[in-house]
Amino acid sequence: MTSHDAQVAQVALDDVRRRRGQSHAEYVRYGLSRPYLAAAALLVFAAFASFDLPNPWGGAVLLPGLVLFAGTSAVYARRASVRMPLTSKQALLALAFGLALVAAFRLLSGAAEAGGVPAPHAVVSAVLCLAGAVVTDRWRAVAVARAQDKKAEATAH
Amino acid sequence: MDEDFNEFLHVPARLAIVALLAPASWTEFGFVRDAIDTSDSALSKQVSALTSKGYVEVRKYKTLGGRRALMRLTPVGREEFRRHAAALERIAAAAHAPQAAGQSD
Repeated sequence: MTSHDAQVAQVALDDVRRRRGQSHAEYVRYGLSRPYLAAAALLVFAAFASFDLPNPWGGAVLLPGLVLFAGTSAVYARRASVRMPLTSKQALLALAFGLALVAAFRLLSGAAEAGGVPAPHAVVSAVLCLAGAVVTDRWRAVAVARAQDKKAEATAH
Repeated sequence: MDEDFNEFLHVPARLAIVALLAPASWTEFGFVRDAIDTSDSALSKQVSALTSKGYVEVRKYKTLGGRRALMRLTPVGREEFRRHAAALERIAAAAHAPQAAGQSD
């Protein structure tokens, strides 16, 4: 093998890493796009705000929520350009995020209720969902760039 | 040359396509075309070659907006790509080994 072979191999490897990063970046970009952020925020808001509704109306939110979730998932599955299997790391991160969100909701809604805020669960969930959507929207460009660079670094080592 | 080196896959256009498909379960034809900046016909030609080798699987379906095509690596294609990438790593690493031995003297 010559040094020319090694150079050719290195160029090919660099392109492989760049392409893998492109796929990952598109996956992250599409998954965090505004329509899906809005649907997720609406779902979370409906689920948390329903705590303010008297029985049995709190449970009535369940069916529309499931329909919205199913519809959003179906649209995503049909339109995503890059589809990737969910890894166990991603599932654990999502679980951790969900638990943190529930903890924040309980803490804040308890404080809001104690403070005499009307419809405390709806108010707190609106604040959490809006804040989460804005932060994620701003973070999307960063996340896409990291997906592109992180994959290139990971395959380099 | 390394025994895992795959001349068929090493063609730049094919290697780029396979590298784009590798991390995904299914990838859309249009995304691959735009990512490697080529035409529908040129990409179709390369995809046909990869399909005939058994490396890529294509699935077409109708949507409201027209027809779409999804592609993915087959288990054979995934394994061949993995072996070829490993061969490239070894070839690239071999360039540094003689230099390291020389520097230690």
